[in-house]
Amino acid sequence: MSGLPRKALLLLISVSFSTLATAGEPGKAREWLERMTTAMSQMSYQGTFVYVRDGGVETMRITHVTDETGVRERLYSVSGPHREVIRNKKGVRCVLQDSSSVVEDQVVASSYFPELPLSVIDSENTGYRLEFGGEARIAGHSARRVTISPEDNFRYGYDFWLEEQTGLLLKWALFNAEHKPIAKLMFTDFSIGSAVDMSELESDSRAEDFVEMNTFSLLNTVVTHSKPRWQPAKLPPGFNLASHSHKTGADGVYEHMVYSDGLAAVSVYVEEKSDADAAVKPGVSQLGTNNAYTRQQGDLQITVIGEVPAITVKAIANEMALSVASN
Amino acid sequence: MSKESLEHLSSLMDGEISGEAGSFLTRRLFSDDEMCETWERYHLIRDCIRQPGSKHVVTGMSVKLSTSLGLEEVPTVSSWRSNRWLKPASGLAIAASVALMAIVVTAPQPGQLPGEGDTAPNASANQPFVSPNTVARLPVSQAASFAPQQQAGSNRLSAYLLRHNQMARTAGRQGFVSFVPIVATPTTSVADASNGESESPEPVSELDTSENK
Repeated sequence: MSGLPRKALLLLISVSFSTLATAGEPGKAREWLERMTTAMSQMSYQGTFVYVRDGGVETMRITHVTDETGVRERLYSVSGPHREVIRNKKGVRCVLQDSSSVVEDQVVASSYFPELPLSVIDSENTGYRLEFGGEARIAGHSARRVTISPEDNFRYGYDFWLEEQTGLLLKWALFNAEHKPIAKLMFTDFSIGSAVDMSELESDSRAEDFVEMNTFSLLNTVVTHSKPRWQPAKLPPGFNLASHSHKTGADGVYEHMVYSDGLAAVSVYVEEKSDADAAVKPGVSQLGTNNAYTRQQGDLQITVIGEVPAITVKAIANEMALSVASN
Repeated sequence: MSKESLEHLSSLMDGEISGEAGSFLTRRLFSDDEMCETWERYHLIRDCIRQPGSKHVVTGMSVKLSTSLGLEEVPTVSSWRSNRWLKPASGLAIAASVALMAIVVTAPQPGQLPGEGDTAPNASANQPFVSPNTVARLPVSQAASFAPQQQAGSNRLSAYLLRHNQMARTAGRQGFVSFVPIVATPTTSVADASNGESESPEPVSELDTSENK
């Protein structure tokens, strides 16, 4: 073979590999996201992390244990008022020292709707672009980066720094469509497996110091595969119904729908107006990086909540109001 | 990062910075990656100073308890002043003070999102669901305190979010991260009480804009 064709062949191989590498990036990103999803639920880990967002820096600690008894998790604030979330096979318990209250939720059955595959995130017209690349050392562990960028203003983007061996999350960032950061989370120490101190799963909050909040309409609800009574006529691109539950018995209206684009999820609650004391005021509210929008339609209250921009929850709530008004 | 910035960051970790300057610095910390990484390193140093595997994590609850019982004096910022390199160890203390700034309220602004204060929307079947440009209309955050009724509303939203997190079966689930907002932040509602009160249909203008990206 002459020199020239050999060079041409090498160039061709080089171009081919380069093309493959580029085309394979979203695939690799998906693969790492799958690893993250599995690792976050099935591994035991523990660590302290700093949570930074506009206007505040807070320190928290997480202990997540998966063993023969199931999944147990405790997340609590190290700084500021004592607030913690405990998850186990009984349900979720949220202790809020600043309001001397406890909010609980029972374990709910899995959705009848199939879990959305990761492939939907990066397919056409879903509103996200996946990228893989970047290495760093975080909390003493090597990490790789997966970036999910939003392609419109209806959803946020994410940066995940994942532990190289396990895929566990070490650093997380949330940003908007203009890539402006909304929140960041970084572990400063991180332990895996047998290094986890199980005793930290125990809450140091005394139950008698808190008032248990009635979880009102969320009780006695069942997940169903039936069609929701009301549905928004229009949704942001890529969002589809992912779950539906309603109240059992005849005591009042309660419909809960979850709409998801595969990554972000938005809950829509339609129920009868509640006691004034417990009511969420109409309008936009924020719960950390979650936006909520509440409005009333006749005797019903519509609340839409999710880790999406305010414009998304508001638009979905208004579409739902339309549907309620026309039925 | 300049020496001055490092000193400011160190002061922030010491809790020695004034409210306004502290707010400015936390905003910068939020947007400046280099400063953010320095902050992270300070925490690492703190963790190294701390005995490995120890449980010297000072919770707000335990601080309050030990203070009220008078069992022992809660370590103060001044006790660390003699050694600046040990200052990161007081990160927990300043984080507690900084957390006071973590309460976020969205207030109605002159450039409020269209449709806020609207009543029931109009049927607009032929209009596409397009993405508006919201950059110039993002809510403004500010410190706030909460009345009991607001607290009740906050708890209700927390309950909604607890249920939401259980039900949302998205592909890229991030585990505990979805519960961080509940632990981190009390909730408030916007004071635009006119929102959603009326039932007469009106157009939902954000669906009609063509400023989508």
